[in-house]
Amino acid sequence: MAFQTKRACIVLVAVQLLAPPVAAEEDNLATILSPAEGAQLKAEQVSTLEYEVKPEAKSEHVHLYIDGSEAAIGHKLKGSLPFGPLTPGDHKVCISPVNKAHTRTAAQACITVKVQ
Amino acid sequence: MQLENILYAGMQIAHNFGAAAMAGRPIAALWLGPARTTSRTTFRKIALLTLFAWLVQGASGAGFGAVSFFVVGELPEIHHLALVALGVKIACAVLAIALLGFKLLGALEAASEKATLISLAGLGSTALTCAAILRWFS
Repeated sequence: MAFQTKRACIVLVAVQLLAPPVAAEEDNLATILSPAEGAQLKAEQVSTLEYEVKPEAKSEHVHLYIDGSEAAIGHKLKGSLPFGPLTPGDHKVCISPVNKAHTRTAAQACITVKVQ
Repeated sequence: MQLENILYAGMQIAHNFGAAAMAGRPIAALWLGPARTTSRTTFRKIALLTLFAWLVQGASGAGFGAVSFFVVGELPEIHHLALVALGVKIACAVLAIALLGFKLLGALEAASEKATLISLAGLGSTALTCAAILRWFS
């Protein structure tokens, strides 16, 4: 009986160690300052995204994604990045705070922009 | 101090020493010239140490990914140019380990010691160049 309890404990500890921690869904450590959610942008024009990542995110740089595809890297935790030009329609723009190993350390901040 | 920082730093230490050794040893051997490095015993020692360095590179490289996944909870976000650079690095490691393995087992007599060292220096330099691309692009 004691052997089985001990074995169960070992299995539980092993499962805990092997299971990756789950990143927070919404932690608001990264913010897109502009453009605003739902902003209307002009087609075939380069826009500027302003962002900020709080120190608590323990990030080193950010990745910029347009419709899920990486478009640029920002080496500041508060700054701006040019993006576009984009085709007409709705586009999802996200920034992902990452560490030196390009691994996300906090939740992405995303907006949807409408391009006309 | 965060656990992931300690683990990343440990991987980085191994990766840095491995990088210096896997590229530096064959280049140094070529620099010193055939008189000092092409005796069978000396070449074998250089080959063994270089093989160990490449194995350290492979293990510590995989270690970065393991720390990201198991400690931080995410796999690295690597795309485009950085993904190509990672692929080339892995290919260099596989080729170098295979070359050294065959050479040490005596199954590659056709390749001279000098040709082997030149190949290793080339593979090491290529891997180091790709490491810089992988670091600054993603």
